[in-house]
Amino acid sequence: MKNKLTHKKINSTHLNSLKRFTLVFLSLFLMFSSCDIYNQEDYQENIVVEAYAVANNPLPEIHISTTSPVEVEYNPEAVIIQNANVLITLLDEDGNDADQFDYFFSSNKDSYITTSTHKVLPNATYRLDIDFNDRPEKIQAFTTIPDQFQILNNVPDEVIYQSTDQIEIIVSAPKRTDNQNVFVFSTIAENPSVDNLTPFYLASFDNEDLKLEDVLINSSGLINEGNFEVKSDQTIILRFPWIGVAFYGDSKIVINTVDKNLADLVRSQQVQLGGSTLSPGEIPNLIYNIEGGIGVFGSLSADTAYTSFARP
Amino acid sequence: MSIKQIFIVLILTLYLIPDSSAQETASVNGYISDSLSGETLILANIALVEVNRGASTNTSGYFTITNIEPGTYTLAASYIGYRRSDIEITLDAGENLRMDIELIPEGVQLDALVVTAEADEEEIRNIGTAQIATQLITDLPSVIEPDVFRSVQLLPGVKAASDFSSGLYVRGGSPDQTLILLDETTVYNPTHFFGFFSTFNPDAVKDVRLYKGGYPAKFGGRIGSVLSVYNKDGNRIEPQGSVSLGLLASRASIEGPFQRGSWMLAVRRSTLEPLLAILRQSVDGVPSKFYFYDINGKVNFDATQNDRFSLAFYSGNDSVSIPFQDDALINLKYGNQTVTTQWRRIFNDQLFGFFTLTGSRYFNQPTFEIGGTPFERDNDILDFSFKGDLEYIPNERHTIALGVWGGNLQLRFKDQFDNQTTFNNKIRSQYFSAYIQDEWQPTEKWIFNGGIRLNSFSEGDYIRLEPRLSAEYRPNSRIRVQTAYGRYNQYLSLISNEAFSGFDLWLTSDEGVPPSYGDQFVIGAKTIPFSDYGFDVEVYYRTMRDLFELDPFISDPAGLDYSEVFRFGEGYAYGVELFFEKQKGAFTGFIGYTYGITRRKFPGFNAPVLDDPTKARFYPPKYDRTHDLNIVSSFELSTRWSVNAVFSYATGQAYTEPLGRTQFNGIPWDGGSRDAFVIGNINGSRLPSYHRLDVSFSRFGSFFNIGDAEWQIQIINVYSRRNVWFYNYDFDENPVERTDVNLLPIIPSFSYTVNF
Repeated sequence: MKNKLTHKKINSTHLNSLKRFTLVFLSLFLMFSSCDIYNQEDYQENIVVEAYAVANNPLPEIHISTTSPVEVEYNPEAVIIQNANVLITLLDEDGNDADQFDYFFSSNKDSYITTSTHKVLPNATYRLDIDFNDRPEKIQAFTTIPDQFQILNNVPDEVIYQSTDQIEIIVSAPKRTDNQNVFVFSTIAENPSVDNLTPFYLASFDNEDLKLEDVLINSSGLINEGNFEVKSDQTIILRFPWIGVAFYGDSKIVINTVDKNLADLVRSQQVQLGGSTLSPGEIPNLIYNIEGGIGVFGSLSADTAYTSFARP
Repeated sequence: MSIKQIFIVLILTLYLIPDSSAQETASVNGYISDSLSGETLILANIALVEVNRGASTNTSGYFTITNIEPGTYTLAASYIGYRRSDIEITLDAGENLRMDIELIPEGVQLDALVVTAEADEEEIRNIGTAQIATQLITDLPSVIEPDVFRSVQLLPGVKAASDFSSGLYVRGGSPDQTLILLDETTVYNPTHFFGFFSTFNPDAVKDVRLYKGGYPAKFGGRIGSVLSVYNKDGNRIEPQGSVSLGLLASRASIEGPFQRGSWMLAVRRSTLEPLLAILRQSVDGVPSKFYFYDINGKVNFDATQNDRFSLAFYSGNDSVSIPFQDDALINLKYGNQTVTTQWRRIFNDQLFGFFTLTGSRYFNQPTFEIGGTPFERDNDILDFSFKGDLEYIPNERHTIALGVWGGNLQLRFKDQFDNQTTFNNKIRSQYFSAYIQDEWQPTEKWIFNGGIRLNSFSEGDYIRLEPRLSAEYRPNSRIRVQTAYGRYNQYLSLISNEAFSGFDLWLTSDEGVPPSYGDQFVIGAKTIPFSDYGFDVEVYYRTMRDLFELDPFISDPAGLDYSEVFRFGEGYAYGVELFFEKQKGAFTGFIGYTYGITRRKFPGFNAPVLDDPTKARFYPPKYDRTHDLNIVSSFELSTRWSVNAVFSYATGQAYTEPLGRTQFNGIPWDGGSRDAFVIGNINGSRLPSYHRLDVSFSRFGSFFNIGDAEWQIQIINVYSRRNVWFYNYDFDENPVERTDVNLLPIIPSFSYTVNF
């Protein structure tokens, strides 16, 4: 009996102590609970700009639209903005305005165009300014045009697909506008048809993972200059990967170098679609390099070679 | 004098320290082991009853009690699931009594579900520390195989990323922030089957201990936590073995004694081939090769009464080959091998030493060949190290531990595209760390543990100092209030994808890539509200700084400097953990609850879409779960039948709900258009809550009188809750269509185990 009473007393003391500690921890718990509220934001409409300047080509068309809420049907024609004030300015080496080009909306092209015959200058920097009479946004973006390069060697008229004689293309060293040049290869088949598909693409087509129009222009991802051999004369040897060949037969091989704006847009779009180390469902925005809106004011240089891919 | 020299002198000094009390007092020391297997018992309790003085065995099963007045005492030893041993000893002045004790198992199997022995409670009740009993690992319902990590995930403060991932997300840290040690050797790849379950074979494991945070100076190398796994030494009394057949994997183990030691060998291999062969008849893209295995082995040799040597090894390997369509093949090989040799020496009754040589090789070698264009990656780690640890007990008030850990770590990260090397980084770094800590008990009610750890990493010339402090106050025998602080550094980062860990990539600090570091603060109370029950509360706060990980926006690392492939960020985590357990009886189990917040931030990531893209906001990683509850119970229906159940509930994981969309139609080299989402807060939304109930029934019997047998029938996700893993968005539909990607449905399975 005595033992029982003593045991009860100890338990009571313990429980009182326990209550005190519980109260302290509960207070801390409530303090924590009130912090770090993190919720999703509401949708806000943004201006979307899309323009691609190509070295030694006329000034680009500029497409201006708005975003639309994700849950509604997306209609590309319905989101076009037709009443923007658009101006492209060529900057000199000191960053001052050197020339200006007015744009107006073309309903035929659903884009803004210019009447100027100015050809885009390699290595030059252009500024894009957009504002609106009925909207508060002011958009500004810059692009520095990649240097124009040239294919220096004679690409063979015909190569056997997946033979050991991989196509090598030697290009002049373009002046770098960023840490290194970034290339994109495109293959455009002269006679695209299902019968001409190479085995990997044919299997994808058969599995309904691929439509023919997806590979009419078959392009690589972004490929850093660091992948390729730079010769002592600073020319670059590009090895054309077989994965770029979707069709047998005559083809154009277009080599592009792209500016940072375009590279950022493309690489971040791939991440948004899940091609990275991010956890599934962790979706970032694209990298836009535009003030006041989203989109891309990008630029590139290109040169073209011709060959034919023969069946092995 | 260099740091190394200081420690050498310190060690020699300790070795030569005369036993100042030897003339007046006595001591008792020895090993505590299982009487049936001879397996040493880690953290068993030992006490002199008359003077209320006690100690715990260390990780070698060794104890020592010093400064005992001469006289006759009762030496009591106890451990969970074993009969208490009371031995009368008489100590003369100056005597150092060697007393190796064997404890007899009680044979009550389910008592082992949760740790109950007082001695073990002593260790478990250290702040931030938790243990999983090996019996629990095999008793719990499991998919494919009983799993060490899945069991650890049930503890408060530990979260699972998904049903498909056994990765340990401890107190807001990613899996690479947990140092995983197998017999003191670092394991870099702890998972099989793309992360589905861990590489540790439950047949081989003796002890699993998780230091969740605020851990002492003895450990280092990670900013989060430490999971220390010890394999069995092997039966020192008689040969024994077991065979377990499962649907998708099977395992076997054998162990036994030799003249002056013991040995153990455990193997496990997937048995997926028959299933794959059937699937290949009707399904495309089924692997042409897919297997994993692991082998654990250990040999112990008792050279003298005071010198024990051991050699342990582990080898785990996963290999898969998937020809997913014509002219397209994926090959993936990854694994880890470790070897550990250890010398344990009792120098005298006050000084015990461990000296360990470790080797660990990690490799991950995926190759793709698509449309005639090969892509190869090679990520290797070769890590060889030496560890020396000393435990010095000068008197009953102090326990001093000190040690060094030095080694050479070689890491290679190489990419090849189209047979040309596009990125090749090879880092050879010498690392060294040294620590000293003192556990000081000035009174019965207070214990302080202070220590300091010094780290160096030669690549980048980094030297970091890490103070560690903890204090414990015992107002009475049933309550302990504890607090701890520590600073931690980490020189490694694991680049992994939660969805698929097959392409894991380890990277290290280097010039321009400083180590991550963080501070941890923990305060808690451990209580015994009623006999056989435990109730613990812990509050933690931790910071994570200079986090380095591969920049997800870098699609091609070619031509970049090593430091340019990273992004550097910071984070913090805090939370409250509650743990209530019933420790004994036919019905046992525990309830673990965590309220936790984790946030991370990287420049340019999660910036408002129209603001400066170099800005960033903190965001919760996907694995952040505000509320996390696990209820684990075991009921012994009869001597032949038992039932185990696990119920888990957690707040839905964070995900990013897209707000708007747009389209880019004019990219010059594109034939079509590219869609893009407009995002608000990254991971600003939550998936539906996660909950799941698993049960298992075990029936014990005999296998033709050769050995014991156990049938286990398991049902995973009893009510087939379709928990959501993540949402998939399909741009081919207009408006964009969202579909659920679900986690595991209901899965029944069974296994049959024979112990002989």
